[in-house]
Amino acid sequence: MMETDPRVVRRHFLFGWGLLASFLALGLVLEMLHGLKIQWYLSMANETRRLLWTLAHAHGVLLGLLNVVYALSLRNFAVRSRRLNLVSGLLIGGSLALPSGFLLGGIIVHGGDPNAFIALSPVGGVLLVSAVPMAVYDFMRRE
Amino acid sequence: MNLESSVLATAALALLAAVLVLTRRLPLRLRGALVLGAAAILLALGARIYLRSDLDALRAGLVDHPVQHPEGGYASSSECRACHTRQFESWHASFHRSMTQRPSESSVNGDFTASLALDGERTTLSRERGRYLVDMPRPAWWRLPGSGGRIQRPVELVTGSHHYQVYWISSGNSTVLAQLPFVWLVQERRWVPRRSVFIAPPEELGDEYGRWNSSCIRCHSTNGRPNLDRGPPEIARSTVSEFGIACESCHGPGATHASAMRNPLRRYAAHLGIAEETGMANPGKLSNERASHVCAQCHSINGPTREEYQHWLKSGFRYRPGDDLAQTRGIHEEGSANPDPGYFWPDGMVRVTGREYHGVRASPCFAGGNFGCLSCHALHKPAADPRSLHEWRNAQLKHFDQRNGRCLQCHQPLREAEALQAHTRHRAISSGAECVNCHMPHTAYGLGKAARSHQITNPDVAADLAAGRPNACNLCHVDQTLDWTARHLTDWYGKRRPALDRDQTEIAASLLLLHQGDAGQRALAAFSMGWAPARAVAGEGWMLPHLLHAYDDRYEVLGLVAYRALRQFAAGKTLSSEFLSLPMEARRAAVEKALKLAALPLPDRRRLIGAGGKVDEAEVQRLRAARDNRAMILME
Repeated sequence: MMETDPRVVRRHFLFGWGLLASFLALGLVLEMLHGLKIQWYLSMANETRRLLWTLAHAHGVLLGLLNVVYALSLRNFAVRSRRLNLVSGLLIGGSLALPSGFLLGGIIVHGGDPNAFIALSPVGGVLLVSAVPMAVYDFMRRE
Repeated sequence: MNLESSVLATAALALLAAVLVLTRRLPLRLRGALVLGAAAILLALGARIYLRSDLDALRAGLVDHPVQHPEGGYASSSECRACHTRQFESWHASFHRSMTQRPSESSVNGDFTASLALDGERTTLSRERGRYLVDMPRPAWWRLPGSGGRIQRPVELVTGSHHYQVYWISSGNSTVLAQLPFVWLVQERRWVPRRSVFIAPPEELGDEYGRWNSSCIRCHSTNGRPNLDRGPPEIARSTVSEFGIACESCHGPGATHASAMRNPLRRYAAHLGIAEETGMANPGKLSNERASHVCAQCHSINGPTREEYQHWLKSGFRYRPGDDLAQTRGIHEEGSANPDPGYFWPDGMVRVTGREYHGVRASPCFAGGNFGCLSCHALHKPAADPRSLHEWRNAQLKHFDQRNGRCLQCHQPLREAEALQAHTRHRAISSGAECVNCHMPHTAYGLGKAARSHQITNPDVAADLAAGRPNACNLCHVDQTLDWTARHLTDWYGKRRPALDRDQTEIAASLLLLHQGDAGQRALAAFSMGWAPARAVAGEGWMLPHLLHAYDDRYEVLGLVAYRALRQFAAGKTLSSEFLSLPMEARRAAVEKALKLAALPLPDRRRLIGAGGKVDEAEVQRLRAARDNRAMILME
């Protein structure tokens, strides 16, 4: 059985673990904000920020795990699609853009609306929605 | 059951009947389909009844309390919250929000395990499965049949959360509510009879049946619609857009604005300043007069005009923020010839709290057009205000870093300490150099305390004496005579010196009011004795025995005002709120015990302190014999 390009596997391992570590660290920061009762995060006036950062934490961690699982899958099931690099790029781009949009969009909020960085989140969502079916198809068509 | 439900029930029964009648002729699958169809309709019917909105239930006559339902273009504060988070937060912390609430764990402050006695009758309070229940002697308004002399009613609405909390129970007649005859004192955390918290002859306080639907709904809810049929019998189907004084009370109906702003492009255009937010009134951008009208909806003495009355009775007021209030409301004239003594001093100045608009309107500052309610008050705590929401919400005043900041916005020359001292004749750091202490003294009464007059005036013994009102100087210098004050005002500011009698020349003005005044004057005098600047200026010990006289007042609320004053004294800190329910002799003993902790006052004719530091009871009795005992109701 031919192996998947090891550079792609390595890329997703590194990126996945890195993303997981970063957004787990964000979780610690959020816990600290709760623990110290920081009103900039907790008050009713800042509930948009709290919601966005909670979303960033949850999505970042889950997408980090997704990348690790993707890397494990590539290592175990050889995929030699011509689209492999495209799917990999979309997955990494989406995994980075979606939680970053939530995180950066929540730093400065206008009333109940996030700032312009929130545009990254739907872009990331579109990248992921494009990448996942292609990845599934590639696994189904593997040699 | 309404028409919609009747049609559904008939359809379900018809399907089931068809299955029974045609049971042998229909194919099995069709029978099954008919039974399933009938079951689905019955399920829908059940869900329809279970999920019936409060408004549906109200229309069907199934609820016995006013119902919350936004209509007429109103949306409710939950819509505003999605975008205006900061404003929502400060409003949520305010006492405006909690002015009317449905009873719940978070809204009810009172102890609902208590058993309360009043005039030999007992009222028992309890909680059962989340409901707050009252078991009470059968009141005069109860018209339904029932056995025995008692009724059990649920609490349906709660009013207030700052000073008092009042409870409304269903009366058994449509949505008409009646008031529990006990009030919860928030600060003292105890129940007292309703007659003990208002300045009114006890025998003249009614049972407040229907008051919420016809009166409280105006100001203690948002877009209240009494829907009153005066009858007889009187029927109410009252609804409100929101319980409490919510966003749309001051900004107008918001459904159109909320709907338009669901479009994110429109929102971001507004954030970027490309497009204006439209469709709402912003009192901060209205003229001072129109902005003050927004407050005056409730903080003035007004009623619907003749043309407005029928509309009000059915569908509430037509006034919307930004309108001219006078178009739809008759607003009392504060300077009229025969002012209502329940609201005004004889010279037309307001003497009750909650009606501040009249004072603002009568102030010289207002005439210039650059002054209104929002000159001093911030209804949303600004981001730059360093105070906590808890500090801000008490009076919702704007924050200024500099002392006297509110007045210095216009009166710039008094910013300098030398100028302030020259103007006030008091040290710049003293309470006597605080603008409001001289120009907005505590001459209004309400909620068991005195409040600042909102009519900005200069101290004037002649004018205040003619109106029977305490003057600003003697509300702080409580140990000084009217003559002393008049002399200083003449020397310093050239004020006219009135003719004064012997008592006014020899006895402290506060004592004349406390012992001789009408019930409202007595309350103001008792309050001022507990006021920190007055105690700092005039000393404490001599006032304690005088305050004791307030406890056997015919107006029981005087006991509450005096207790609150007494608690401010170093010697009175030991008194608990149990004091309020003690018999007179026990109260006297408690105060005398507290007196032993205070320094013995020196004999002083002005303070009516005789030899041995004892009160000159003969003089006190002489003054009390001349007391103004006319019946008084203050419409706070």
